[in-house]
Amino acid sequence: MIFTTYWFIAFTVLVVLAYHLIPRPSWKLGFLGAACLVFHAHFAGPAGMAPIIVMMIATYYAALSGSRGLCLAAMGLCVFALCFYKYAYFLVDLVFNGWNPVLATHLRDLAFKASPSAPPLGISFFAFEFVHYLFEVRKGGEPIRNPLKFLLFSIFFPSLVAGPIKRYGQFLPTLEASTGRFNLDNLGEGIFRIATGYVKKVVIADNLNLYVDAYQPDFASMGIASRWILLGAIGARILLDFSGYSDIAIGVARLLGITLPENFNWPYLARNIQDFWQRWHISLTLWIRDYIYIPLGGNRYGVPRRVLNGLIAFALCGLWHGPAWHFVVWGVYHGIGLGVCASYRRIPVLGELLHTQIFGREPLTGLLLTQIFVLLGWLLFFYPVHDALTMAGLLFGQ
Amino acid sequence: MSDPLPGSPPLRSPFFRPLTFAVGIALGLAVCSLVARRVSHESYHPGFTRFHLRISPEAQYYPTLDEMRGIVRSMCRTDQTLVIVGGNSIFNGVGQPDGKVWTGALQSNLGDNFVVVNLAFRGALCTDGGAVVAEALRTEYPHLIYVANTSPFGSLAPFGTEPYRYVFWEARSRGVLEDFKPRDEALATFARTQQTMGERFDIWSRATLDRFLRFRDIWNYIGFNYFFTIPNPTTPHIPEATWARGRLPDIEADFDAFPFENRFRPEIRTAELKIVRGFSWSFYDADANGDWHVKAKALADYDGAVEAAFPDDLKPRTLIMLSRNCRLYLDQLTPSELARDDNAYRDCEALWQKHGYSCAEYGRDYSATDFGDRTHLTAEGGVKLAADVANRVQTLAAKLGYTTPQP
Repeated sequence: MIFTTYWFIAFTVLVVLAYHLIPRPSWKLGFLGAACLVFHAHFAGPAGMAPIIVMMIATYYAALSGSRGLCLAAMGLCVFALCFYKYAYFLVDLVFNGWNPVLATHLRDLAFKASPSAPPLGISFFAFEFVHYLFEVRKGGEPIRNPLKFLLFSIFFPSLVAGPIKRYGQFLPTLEASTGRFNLDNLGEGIFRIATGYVKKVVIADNLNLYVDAYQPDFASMGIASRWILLGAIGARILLDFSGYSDIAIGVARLLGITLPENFNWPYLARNIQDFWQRWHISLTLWIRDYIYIPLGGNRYGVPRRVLNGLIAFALCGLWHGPAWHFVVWGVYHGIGLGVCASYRRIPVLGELLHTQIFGREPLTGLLLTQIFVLLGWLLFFYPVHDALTMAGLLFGQ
Repeated sequence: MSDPLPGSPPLRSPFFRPLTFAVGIALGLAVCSLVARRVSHESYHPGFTRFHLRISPEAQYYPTLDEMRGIVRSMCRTDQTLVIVGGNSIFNGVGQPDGKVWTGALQSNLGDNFVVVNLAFRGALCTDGGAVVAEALRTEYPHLIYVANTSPFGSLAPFGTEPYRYVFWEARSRGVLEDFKPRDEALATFARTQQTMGERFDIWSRATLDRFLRFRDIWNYIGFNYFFTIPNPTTPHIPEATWARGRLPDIEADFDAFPFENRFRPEIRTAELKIVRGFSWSFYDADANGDWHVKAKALADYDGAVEAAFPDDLKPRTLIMLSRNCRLYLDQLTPSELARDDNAYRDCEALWQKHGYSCAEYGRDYSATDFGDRTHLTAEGGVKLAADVANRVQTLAAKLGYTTPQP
């Protein structure tokens, strides 16, 4: 809820004003870097900054060294840090609890002593950004030599908390362009985008949240129509909450003259599940595609391997959202959906018939089926698997 | 390198002009602020009895300072003696349905020269809600008495407690509170030790912005009179959740509707007795003779809190009632435990009085059936409380020169 604090709003106003008043581009960047450090220190605390500083230094020098091995090691460090801070308990339970509960308890205690009470601020985002950066440099991309620009790529405050997940090749040009002349259009568009984000988040999503929490315990006793309405509210809530946050981040960056990648593009208008993932949390989807799915082999080794790669990629995508099995199941659910969507036409006779006679002729059918699929998936996202399955059954009168 | 992500496109709309948009926002806020100032000045709570569950912070309805001042102004003329009731759920009248609330009996006992306004809230301190309103109205109503309950050595922050502290911040940001050094010092200590810089900034910003924009006032006006958007445990479902809160009746349960045995079930009794046994234990030490003596630190801490609780101007106009536990439990205490409790009431009463307040305990001589549970009173118990408080209010009013002493 960082974006809904007065501190954030006041901080943003001051930073934007000062940024545009500073005459020299290099001073502007220096000021913005200092502001990002203040922001991070304020919300994460000095101790909370340690992980990102260590990872930032490792990533910066590994990339500068030009060594593929060092880049790989730094990527390993980023992934390890993410796993340690966010998934330590989950992984200990997953790996050890089954065969040695005593050891699992011991490791859990160790993790408890070694880790802070909450994961470092924005670790899910900056760890992915570092991995992307190192991956690209390892492939031959030009590293960021200017430490200030690398600092800004690492802890740019609007996108630090909830994304979008940036790409350095896109971020640096827009960062440099922002140091030029002040543009009133950017200011107006930024304010509009921020206002849209706050309305989505505070006015609609937060209120929907209260309704969902109030109604959900009565899910079994309410009528079928009410259950579907509640499901719709759950779907609307997550979209408006998350896209509202993205709007605020994009809007604040725009006030500074910086363009961040879009994260949402009317996902509930998607006509199939592939289309949905091109519209939902776009920066994460593309990251998963570029740094998990394609390195695994993508669609280069036939349909079974393609489906398997998709399932692995989406299981990890689910896990990224939180250390719990229902997130993994949600990811696999979407992986299966994507697999079916990509290959149903191969079913003899029926596949082509479905494609030409139903989805081709009636695009609304695809939209409807996609949204039902997505909405049912939100049950897995928000509730334990057993509860989600029970609720899904109740939606169909069982 | 991988494909670039789609960037946020520039907004190209014939209907969007940055400057017009900014001016629109500013004008909209100004109009809302003006409307809020207009509507919050007068009461929109006809026949107000109390802030019942459905118009309280527990139901996402946060009465504002001006809203409460508006209620007081609509009920009491400045030539009458205003009796503002504060405190917690006991004084709010939990367990007493609308029409049987103890403050109704208090009003009847006091007569037309007095006007009783119940501004007590569930879980509030004696320094919350009504206390802030009383302080804010101290000059407007020269004949003002503030009555609230508390327990001996109970929590006593001079700036109230959550979720009611917002009223204090509202009053402070609007400059309607007295400058009072002990409270300021307690507040500074609290801010230094309990709050982060960000939390302090957020509280200050919210109160300062609200001072100008009055967003709480306008929202309460709309929410009370027209529609509400937020569900709560008392109205979890549509359409009730969207109804104007003014439409929702006071649904406070009636303790008298439940048989005594149901109100004091054995499993509850055991847990409650534990609380009653423990409440004064941590503040007292026994000497070799078995006599109880208050711990010096507990006394010093409470002394400081009592001193800082209300500004000097309000202290003589404040009546603090110390709430006793139900007789059912008191009768099960050992003589030694009872003696310790009695000491706690006696010492606290003396402490409040030392600082210039009026203070008394109530409930020691009430019967078990006067209680709905360990602390709350039935309607019948409320009548007894009203009689006790009325006597003390009349005495205090006479002492303050508001009325002629009764022979």
